[in-house]
Amino acid sequence: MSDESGPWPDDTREWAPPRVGVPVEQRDLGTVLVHGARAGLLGGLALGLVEIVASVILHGDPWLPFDFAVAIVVGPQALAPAFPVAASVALGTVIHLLLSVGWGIAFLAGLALMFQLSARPTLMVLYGVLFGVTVWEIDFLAVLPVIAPELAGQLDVATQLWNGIVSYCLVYGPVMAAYVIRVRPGVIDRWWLGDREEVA
Amino acid sequence: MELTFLAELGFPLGVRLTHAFNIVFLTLLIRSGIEIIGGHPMLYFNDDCRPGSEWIRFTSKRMFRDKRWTAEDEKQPYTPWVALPGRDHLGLGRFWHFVAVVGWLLTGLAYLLVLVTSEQWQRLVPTSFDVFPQAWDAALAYLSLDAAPSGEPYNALQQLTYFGVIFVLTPLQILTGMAMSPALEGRFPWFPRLFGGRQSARSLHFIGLMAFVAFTVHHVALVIAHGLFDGLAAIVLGTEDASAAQHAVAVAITLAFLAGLVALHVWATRASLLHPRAVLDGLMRIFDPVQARLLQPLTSRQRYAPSDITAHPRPNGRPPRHQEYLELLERGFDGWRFEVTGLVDKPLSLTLEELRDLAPEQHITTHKCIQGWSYVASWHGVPLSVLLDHCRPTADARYILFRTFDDKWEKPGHGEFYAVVDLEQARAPQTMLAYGMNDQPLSSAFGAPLRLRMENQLGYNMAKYVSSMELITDYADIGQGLGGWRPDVLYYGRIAPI
Repeated sequence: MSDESGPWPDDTREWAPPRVGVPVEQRDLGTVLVHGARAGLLGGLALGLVEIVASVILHGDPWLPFDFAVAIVVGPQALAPAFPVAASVALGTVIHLLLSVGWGIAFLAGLALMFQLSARPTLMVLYGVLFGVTVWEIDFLAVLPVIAPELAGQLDVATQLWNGIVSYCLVYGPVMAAYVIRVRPGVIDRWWLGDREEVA
Repeated sequence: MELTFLAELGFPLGVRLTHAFNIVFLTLLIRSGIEIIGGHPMLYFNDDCRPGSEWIRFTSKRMFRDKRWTAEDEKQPYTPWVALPGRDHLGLGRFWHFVAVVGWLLTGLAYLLVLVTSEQWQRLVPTSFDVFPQAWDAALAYLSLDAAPSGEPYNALQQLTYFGVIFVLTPLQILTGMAMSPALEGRFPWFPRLFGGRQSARSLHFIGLMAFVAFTVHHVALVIAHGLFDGLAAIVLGTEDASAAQHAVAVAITLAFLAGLVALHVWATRASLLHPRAVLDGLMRIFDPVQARLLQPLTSRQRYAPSDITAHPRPNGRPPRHQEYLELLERGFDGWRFEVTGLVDKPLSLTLEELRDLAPEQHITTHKCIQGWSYVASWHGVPLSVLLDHCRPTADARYILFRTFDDKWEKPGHGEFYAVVDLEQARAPQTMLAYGMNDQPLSSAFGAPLRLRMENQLGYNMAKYVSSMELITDYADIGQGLGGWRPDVLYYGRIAPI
């Protein structure tokens, strides 16, 4: 009777040191900031594009998403027809991308804190969707009514559905998730490669 | 008119008190649940738990591919800021969880009593299918950022959500938690299969926990959206249309409650880390009678098929490495004798060959580790009841002390491994001293030459590397007196039916 018998008959490997494993994630602030910003930037660009398309289809106005973004900072006068389009586009783009980069960093930080940078791709997409819902909920249900209550009543259901939930859940979050899946920031090793298959 | 009456009725004292206790117990459950997850920070939808087959994991490491390791190495200690108590205290975390479960269930029963003995149930239980289109309308109202849809007292979406949490999610949590009890699973093997197996139940239990967290966040957000001060006055004071003074009182009481809640968590965490033995004693005093009466008497009736056997089961704990054991292992335990001593009429001294000739028994069962992982294996050995029939315990004998070859070299200074088993438990069906696994002699990784199998218990109670057994009256003078090496050192319970 020896280790050559039993459930692992061919296992003659040496014992690893107790409680030691191979790190699969490198969770440092630089990784989170750089890749969070990149993920957020990509997600923000995709979100902005979808919002412009949805705005054209729903309202025939491609500039409305820019106006809303600007209105967060300068108030409802940004929605007035007199507000210059160029200023709206420039300022709106900056505000939108800053917010999306900030949320992107939050997304990466959340993943890193929960050891999820190396999560399975399907799970990562789910995280993206859930994060998109959360961002929408915080932005539109919690923050917007407080900082700009006059904007709230100006969003009809269709706009909220397409420019809000659909684009946040199905575009912004998943695009950031796709970036993490593609780049795998901070991921040193793929844990889902099974122990036994590797040995065999 | 009836619903308007309900809104005017407000929340009776019973609802307000159970709401407060619910917060206390849920927060304890969540933090201790995180501690438990750290014991094996991976979740599966298969009972084999093959490394790499987990669908989610909460650890920063994987195990070596070119070296051998055990499940013990996979633990992921969490910070006490998040887990109760944190820093790899699985045993204490489990007791906190179970004691909180008892409190939470009692709170739930009290709440249900209030519901059914008053009109309060109408707040939660939809009485018409109209609730679904109304809930859709309410959802659209939220989407359009109009004023929050009002209800009398709840709008349809709120009613459906509360109903779902209380009458669907809560029972699901209770049932999936119960499905992880080895005693229940042993007695009713079909029960965890309702959820797709033990590991699926564990995964669903975790998802349910996340759903509770998500509900809590949304619940609080919507209370704020609907009017925080009015909401607080209603749930703290039971007052509708509260005055400014009542708002102030409600806020003050809420803040005091939250401060008390934080203080409770800080105390529970610090006490557990600084005085684990005292905390364990207190928690065991509450929960041990519950599990001893409800779960421990359940006997195993597992009959898995050979096709269910796990190809590559996890070992746990490294084999002894002292010279005596290594030499015995090298010669296949030839010449070694298993001693049965103590309070018996006829002491026994048996070789492995003689043990194998004693009414051999074989069964295929699930091994359930306290950490959370599992595997299915075939065990063959001698039933403990047969050994007891041969040695004939005296009337004073109440327990069996199993001594082992295990020097626990991984944790020096804590003595050799031992386990204590009730005589009644030892005579239970499917309780045996196994000398073989999956039609092979027991390997050193899984406990050669002999290991205990008690199929209504968690794995940690099944001593490996058993060298002798002694019938005793009491275990107070053995080790630190808690009835096992793991209770002594790791603060686990002496019995482990859940």
